[in-house]
Amino acid sequence: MSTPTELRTVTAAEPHTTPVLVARGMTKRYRDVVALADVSITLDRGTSTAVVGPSGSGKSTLLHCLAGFTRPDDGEVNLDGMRISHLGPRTATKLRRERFGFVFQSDQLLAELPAVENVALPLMLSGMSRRAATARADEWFAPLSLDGLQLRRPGQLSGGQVQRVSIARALAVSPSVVFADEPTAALDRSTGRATIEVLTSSCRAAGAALLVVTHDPEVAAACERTVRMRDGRVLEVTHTARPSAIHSVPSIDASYVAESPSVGGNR
Amino acid sequence: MIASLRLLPLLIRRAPRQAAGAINLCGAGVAIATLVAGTVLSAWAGFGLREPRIVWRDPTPAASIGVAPTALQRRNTVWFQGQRIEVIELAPIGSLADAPVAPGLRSAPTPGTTWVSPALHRLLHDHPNGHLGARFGNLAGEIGRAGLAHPDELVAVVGRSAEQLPSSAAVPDPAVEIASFDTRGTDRTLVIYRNLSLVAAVLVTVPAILLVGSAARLTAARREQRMAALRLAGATPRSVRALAAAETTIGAGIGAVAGVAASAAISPLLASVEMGGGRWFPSDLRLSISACAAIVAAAIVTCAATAAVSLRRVASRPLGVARSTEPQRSRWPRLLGTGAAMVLLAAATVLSASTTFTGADGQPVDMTVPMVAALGTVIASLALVGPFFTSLVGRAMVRSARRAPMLIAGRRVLEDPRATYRTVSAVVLAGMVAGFLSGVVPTAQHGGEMHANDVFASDILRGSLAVMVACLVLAFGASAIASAASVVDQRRVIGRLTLCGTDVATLQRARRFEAVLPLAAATIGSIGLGLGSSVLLMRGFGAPAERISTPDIWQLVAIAAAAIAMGYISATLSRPLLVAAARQATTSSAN
Repeated sequence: MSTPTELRTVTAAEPHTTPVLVARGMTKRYRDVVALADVSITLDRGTSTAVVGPSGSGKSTLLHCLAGFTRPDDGEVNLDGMRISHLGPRTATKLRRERFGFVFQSDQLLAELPAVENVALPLMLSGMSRRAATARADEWFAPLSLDGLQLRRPGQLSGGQVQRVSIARALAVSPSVVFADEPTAALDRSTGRATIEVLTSSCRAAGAALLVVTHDPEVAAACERTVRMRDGRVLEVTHTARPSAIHSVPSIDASYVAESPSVGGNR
Repeated sequence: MIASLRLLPLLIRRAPRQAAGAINLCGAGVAIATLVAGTVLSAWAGFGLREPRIVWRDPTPAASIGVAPTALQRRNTVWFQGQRIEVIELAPIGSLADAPVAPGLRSAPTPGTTWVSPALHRLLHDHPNGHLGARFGNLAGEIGRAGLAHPDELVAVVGRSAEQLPSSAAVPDPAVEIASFDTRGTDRTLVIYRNLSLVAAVLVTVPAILLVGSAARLTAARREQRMAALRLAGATPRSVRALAAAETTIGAGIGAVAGVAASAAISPLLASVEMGGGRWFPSDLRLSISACAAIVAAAIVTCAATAAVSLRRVASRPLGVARSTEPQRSRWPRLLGTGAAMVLLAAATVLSASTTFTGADGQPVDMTVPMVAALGTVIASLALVGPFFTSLVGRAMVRSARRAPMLIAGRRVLEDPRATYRTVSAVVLAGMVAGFLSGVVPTAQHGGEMHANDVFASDILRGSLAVMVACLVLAFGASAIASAASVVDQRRVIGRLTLCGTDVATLQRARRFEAVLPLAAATIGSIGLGLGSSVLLMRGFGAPAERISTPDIWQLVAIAAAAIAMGYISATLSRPLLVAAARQATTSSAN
């Protein structure tokens, strides 16, 4: 029987924010392997959290449970006070589509669709007409320095551009939470840094909580909080007073983001 | 390459359960294809075997081959209770020992005696006191199968004296002076049957090849990742292709042997189906060992080639599927292929119907093989024109899309029209066959002068029905397997869409759009093409233009609806694979 994991706060200066996703006492076992052992975590609006740890530490399982891909054996996940950890597949899919955004390592855009339609897709899936969805998707291209690339297909974009399109897609639905799994792993160092900076600042501007699973200390340093895991447990939680991402966002115009109708549209 | 092939037993042993299942499915697909192809080919061969057993009844006059006659022969038909009895009268000129012995008889009949076929013998036995027995005199024995087209034939070889068979042109229905019975000639009716069975074989073989190809592609899609891993481990493209081909060959080989064995096993059953006026001798429908070997070899080669071709991208890039940069374009010059094939068919039929197109002997040149080959070219040309129409449909889908399923489907169709067309090609082909047969059947039934014969008309109807059923079975099998293979191929896309929050119902709707809309357009075109081909071919086979009948429009609408329904059902049947792919995406998304 595992004891509840203590979240050890290293930096005392925790910002005053509103919790959006709250998970308590999550445990997940795969046969004899305990992937998550009584983990609790809270994600706040407009903040970024990095989850780091060696392979097999439970990072991916944590993301799965929080995003509703996997149902925890014990414990619960609440989104804005609504219990989401035991939803049926259909409701969970709808929830993921409308309240969550996802940015993965690579290979996440549809090769057949031009970039703007890739971004518009989740909106269309939520019932928006093609014209409206495409128009709304188009608004994300300039802030993410993607202007002029709307009609390019993923195969015609660079790795960094693909990730920025993915970020646009994740944010286009005005999500409450954005989950990113190794979003810079397939990129070179400078492109990776630029990508994570765009990701954190965009989420912050959009008021979405960001959870990043990563091996990269630079990515973790760009987030306001770092959760370190091992053997399915949270070892420590570190708050970064001044995340490194804020200062140098080369490709995003903060004022433009602020003017975007999607920003602040969080539920 | 040899070193890589040594890995084959290990790869098969360690193959995941799904891969083993795909190999089994491939084997099953090949078995169905070879069973159907074997059966139709056996019918074609069977008509060929019937021919020498019937043509002796029209021997060449002795005078025309410059030899002295030894017998007189006359052929006529009598009827008994609506049954046709063929009577061959023979009279020796001079010694009976010099008279030729007809095939199936042990000796020439002495005047006043008769050899009868077993069926006629039974009939005589059943009516001992009627007029029938009196017509034939004393029975000398039963005609063996060497002299009979089929076991139900009512034939009598009646011995007469030379006085009873006058050969003078002055008498009505004179006898012919002969010296021998020739078994090398041709029978006009059997030639038509054989030609039509050759057409049927072509109509059935193409969907059979498509089914084999689909089955092979399914296993190829399954093993793509494993082969990519082999490439990364240092295997050459050639080795990977060889391994893929070898792995497919095992399933295909087992399936092909099973299909041919099944074809042989059901041949006694099929022998009981009446065609050309009677049932078959079971051995007529038994394919020779060499024919069986050829069918098995063709199935294996088709499978191995399809597997190797479908793994081209893995073979050329160790990292697997490359990122797509440009959609595959299908342009209008593809239309020229079908146009050229139709011109070829039209030319062959015009030459066949022409009385002035003769060979060195002054006889009209037999254009059957060129016509059937041209028909095969028309069928094959669907592979050219199909993707073009598919891309037009894809463009229209994208332009008209208001919601996500239609947009996803349209973009996918436009991305690779050839791949989309491949999944529906068997059903499109079945549409063409249906269109073709819908032109043949009414023409044959109302053909009047062409063949005023109920047996022929009912044979055409039965044969057409059999070909249609065979095509539908093959098309449905190919379509269902291609649909499953397409889900396997698209599992990454399905995964990405699922992660976007696409539910299975939306994915399924997109898949149905992707399957049904291009299918509808291509099927309508192929039915028209089939109908046009049948009109040309009927003209080529001698049907007068005024006798060629066209089917009812509702019949064509029903064919199109059936084809579209088949595509819809095939797409629906692959839902479990879709659900599995979506589930896999959500469980392994962050891994």
